[in-house]
Amino acid sequence: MTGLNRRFRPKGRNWPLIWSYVIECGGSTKTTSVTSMAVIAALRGYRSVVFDLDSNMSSSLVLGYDKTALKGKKTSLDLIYGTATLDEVALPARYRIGEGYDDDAFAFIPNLRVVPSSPAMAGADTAIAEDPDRNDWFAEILHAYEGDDTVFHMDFPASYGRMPYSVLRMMDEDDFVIPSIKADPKDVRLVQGLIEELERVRDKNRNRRSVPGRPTLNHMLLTGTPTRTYKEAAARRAAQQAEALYGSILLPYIRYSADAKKLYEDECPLPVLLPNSNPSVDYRKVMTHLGFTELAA
Amino acid sequence: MAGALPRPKRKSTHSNPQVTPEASFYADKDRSGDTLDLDPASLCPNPFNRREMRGVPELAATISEVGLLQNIAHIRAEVWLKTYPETADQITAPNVILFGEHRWRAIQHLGWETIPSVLRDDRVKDARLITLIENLRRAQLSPLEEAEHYQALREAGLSYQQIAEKVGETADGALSKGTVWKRVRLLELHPEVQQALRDGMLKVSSAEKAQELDSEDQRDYLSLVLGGTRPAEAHAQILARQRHAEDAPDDDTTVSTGNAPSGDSAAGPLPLAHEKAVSTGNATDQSDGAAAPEGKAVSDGNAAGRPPAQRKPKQDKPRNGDSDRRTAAAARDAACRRLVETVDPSDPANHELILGVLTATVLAPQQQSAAQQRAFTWLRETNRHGLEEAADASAYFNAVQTSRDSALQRLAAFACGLAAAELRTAARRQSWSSREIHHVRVLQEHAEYEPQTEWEQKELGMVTAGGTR
Repeated sequence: MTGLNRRFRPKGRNWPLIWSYVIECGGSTKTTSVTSMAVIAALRGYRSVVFDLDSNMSSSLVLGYDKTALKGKKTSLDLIYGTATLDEVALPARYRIGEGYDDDAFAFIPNLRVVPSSPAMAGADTAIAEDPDRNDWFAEILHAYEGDDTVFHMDFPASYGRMPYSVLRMMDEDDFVIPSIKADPKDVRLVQGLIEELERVRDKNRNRRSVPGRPTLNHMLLTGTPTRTYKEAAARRAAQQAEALYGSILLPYIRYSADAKKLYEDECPLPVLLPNSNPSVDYRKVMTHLGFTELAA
Repeated sequence: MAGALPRPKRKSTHSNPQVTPEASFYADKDRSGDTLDLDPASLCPNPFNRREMRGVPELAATISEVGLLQNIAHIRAEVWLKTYPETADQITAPNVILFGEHRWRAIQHLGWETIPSVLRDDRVKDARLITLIENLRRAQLSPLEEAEHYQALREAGLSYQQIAEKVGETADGALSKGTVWKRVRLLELHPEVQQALRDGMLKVSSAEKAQELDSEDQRDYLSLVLGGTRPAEAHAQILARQRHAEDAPDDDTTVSTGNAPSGDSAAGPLPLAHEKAVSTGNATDQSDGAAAPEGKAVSDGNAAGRPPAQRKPKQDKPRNGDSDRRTAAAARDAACRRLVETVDPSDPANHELILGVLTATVLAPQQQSAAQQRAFTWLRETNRHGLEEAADASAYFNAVQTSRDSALQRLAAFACGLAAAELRTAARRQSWSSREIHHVRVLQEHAEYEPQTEWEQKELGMVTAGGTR
């Protein structure tokens, strides 16, 4: 941990920054943003972990672990049940370079680990409801943490419930709640719901010393924004609306690209798959904007 | 930065997606729990179903009116045969009905082309039990059908306890191990008794009473019960006869059964001898001859000769009392008969006796038909019934009532009253109350009755600290 910039341990705490990509809106590019930003930071030399908390296992897949590869492996559900530690669950992120599941079918992405999900994560809320102690699963991981990661990237399902709550309550104002939304009227409209949910989390944890309880909506990603060739009216209006409503927290736009849809097919994060596509360029800008410039080796 | 990384293996660059089609979305087309429309001809009855097919046309009429409200269930024959290969010769169609054979027959009766049925391959292991439970739940199984089901489960290796637990709550409430056992034992009854039970001529409780009798006695018991005797009484009579036969094989005085040859000579003198014995205060010493074996038998509780009772061991002791009780009842019965034989109802001297008996009868709860039955037996056997044409007790007493013979009416009423008192006394299981004591006093006074058993003397308060009063 020597040499690690103090800004990754705000208020002298022992755990990294928490970036929660959360909004109750399906297909809103949460996973694309999580994987792209985490991979870019990793490739620039910043160690981080992607937590896949969505039962659809999308970020697990993009970071090299599909259902077959995960057979017999521990998953994020084990963390919630307390049956495994973070280091036991987290796997080195990778992407596919060949056929099959042997080691030579994959190339590893340095500085990045992924906590894979499982279909059973659909029952995470129930698992927490069954046993109130499980509400502290994330707190326990943080308090026991000793590594030198810079950021925990949290990829959530498109729902608010007990499991997202158990993570959001552990966030402070230095951490980021980053709704990643498409330039689409539906997505923009649903940000209000997130604001209310965060308010609820803050309310519930007011005056508690053991948990920070201050998740803060301090950045917003707008993806699929119009370009010279992509001129859909709805996207244009949605971007204008987002600008008007949330201009102060908007990160640089992630422009539209048809390529962005290929990461699931190719099981590879976008900055590795198509480093020169518009979105890859824009995600790099965003990470630079957030202070994750290339580290000297 | 990314330039240093190896090239990803790409699929999105192919113009057509390189995927192999899923083999089949739903390989097993029909799954357990699915409701299928089957051709009735593709179903065959469940070999485990022992329920008699009654009321099919009625059910068909209902179904044609309101439709089939509840689907039947079936198991595929190949699945069935894997579990129950021994039933192969009874499986005549591709599907075996798990339950709903009545409905199936009704549908066939109606000529429907299909019948909705739920596939239940997953329950094949429990098929036998499900068949039983289904039938029990519908609460139309006769006791013997029920017994056959239980027996089948026994043969399948279940204990009585397990059967009771698995069958659990039936339509009539919780099922106990004992009930299962009692039902299964019905199958051991004499075929005639079983037939009577099947025909509804005999109640289950009555049939259960016959279980401890041997097969010849069961037939006698059956004929008694069918002849109108109350089951408890018939049972007591058979047992008393058994006792008597065991205690005094040479003695003809089978007073209690009412089957003794008329003109019985032994019955008369014997109690007279005892009357004498009482007067000398040496009753036990004086009894000899025919009475001696009986007295001995009583004292050592001769019940041991009979098959062991299916009861808790604790009740062994009262059973000795039971045997005394039956002996005493038989003796009292003889005394009653004698009294009926000898009393002259028209003699004013007897009016007080008759009035006393009738008063005691009217004031106490009574089993009138049983009492009439007993009184009728006495009157007929003592040749004092007066009217010839009466076929049975109730007809006889109706005839007596309409006759103008007041002496006969009085005698009949007296006999009924006496019989009611006797039945009550014989049935009394607790210590005697003043009613029973009064009845025996009447017999002692007017019929030269002498209590012989120690038990009866005790009930009467005659025995104190090992001696007669």
